[in-house]
Amino acid sequence: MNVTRNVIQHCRVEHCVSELEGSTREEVVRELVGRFQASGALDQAAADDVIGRVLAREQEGTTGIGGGVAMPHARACPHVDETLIAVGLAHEGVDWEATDGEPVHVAFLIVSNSPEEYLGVASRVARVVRDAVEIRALRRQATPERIHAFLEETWA
Amino acid sequence: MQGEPMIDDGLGKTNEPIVRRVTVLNPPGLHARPASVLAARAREFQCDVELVLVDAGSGRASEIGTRVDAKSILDVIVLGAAQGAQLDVIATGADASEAAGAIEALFRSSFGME
Repeated sequence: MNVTRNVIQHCRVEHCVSELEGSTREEVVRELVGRFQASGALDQAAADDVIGRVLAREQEGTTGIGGGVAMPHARACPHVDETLIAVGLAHEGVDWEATDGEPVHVAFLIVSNSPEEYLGVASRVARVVRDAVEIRALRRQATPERIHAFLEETWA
Repeated sequence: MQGEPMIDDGLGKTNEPIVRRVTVLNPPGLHARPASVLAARAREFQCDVELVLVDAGSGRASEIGTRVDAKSILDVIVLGAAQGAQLDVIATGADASEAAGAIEALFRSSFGME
């Protein structure tokens, strides 16, 4: 794994959503995976497979880790060519059965075909997520371009 | 957390840190589920429990020497510890010995998962 590579390279502008339409955990997962499909990063079959894996992982235990943030993920997707990050903001909040019972306002989706690369990417995402100041600032980014620029600077 | 090595707890004992070196055995490394198991176990104890990355193994997610709170799932994920990574479990407080032993046992059992 090349850790000198900026994690932002796993997250395209098209994978950033400034206002999620989905109002449930499953809808948000489908919406974010849909961004991978719309950008051409995943084809239909891969997207369907990823959705199944991410939702199955949620059934094993919520990835709503508190503080208004969820990190849905699938670590070992055979049809995914590169590790992908999508991020979505939900100003109203989404019920994610989070550990602290609070609605989720920021969802980071990570899908990968490499459990090892996933570890590195999740580490960098977690650095942002655990910082309440960073999360508050991220939530203020009003467009996909601003979300992307914010994360690029944060991860630089 | 960043406490002195020797702190009088008022009970006639000193809060000398208990340090145990552990290795990540499970192939996927310390991803979210084992991190969750680890943090939950650490939270069962009153003492502070920290993890320090000593050897990253095949992974390179965090710098050697990165020190995190074992009671925080996110902190454990930040380590990005891959299989083969070595960590020091540092427990400080009244029940430090029990906590260090419990965390060490979790690593030895691969957190009860592959």
